[in-house]
Amino acid sequence: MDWLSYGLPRGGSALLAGDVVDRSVATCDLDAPLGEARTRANDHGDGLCVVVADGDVVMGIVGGEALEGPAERRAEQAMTFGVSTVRPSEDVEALVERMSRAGVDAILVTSSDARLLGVLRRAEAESAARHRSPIARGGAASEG
Amino acid sequence: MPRAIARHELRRLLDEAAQVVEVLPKPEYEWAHIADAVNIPLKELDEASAARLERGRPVVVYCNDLQ
Repeated sequence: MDWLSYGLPRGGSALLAGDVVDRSVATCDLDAPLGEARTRANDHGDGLCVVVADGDVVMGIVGGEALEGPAERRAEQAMTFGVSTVRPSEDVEALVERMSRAGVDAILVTSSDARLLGVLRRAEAESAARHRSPIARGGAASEG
Repeated sequence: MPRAIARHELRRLLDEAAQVVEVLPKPEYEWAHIADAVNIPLKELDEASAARLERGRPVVVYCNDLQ
């Protein structure tokens, strides 16, 4: 349901991606040096930096070997373009099942207009589903 | 007279104590609904069920797409 992605207060039994998203995630601009992206990713500890435009519109991600390139290279040149994302309205249990089948450990959560809300980690989502409780964490990204 | 509204207007109406009605079937309502919304499934929406609502207060009706 699209309205679930609008951040309106809700009732009901659903456990949704927006309930378990980690809103603290490393980001950088398209023209940021790769060295800066690497530092930010390392500071967050998950080896991932989301490349954004206009403050929070997701353009791609830089992670893994791509982060180890020359420091002066631009993030836009090193990033993976067209990454998979999910909406905060996704049912967590169904999403975790899909992530497990695909071997995906983490996925970006964005609004319907591609604005970054955070990252959902499969291990944390599985734990939340087992205990049927949301994980409340603040951070820089927010829904607009 | 019914009219479509955008989400910013919905927020304003919620702040002004509008009545919110979800017209999806009960299982979907129980899975997730806008806080404080009442459930009147579309197939059950008639004069009798609508009598639960207060005249004089705005009524927002929504479905899957908040339309």
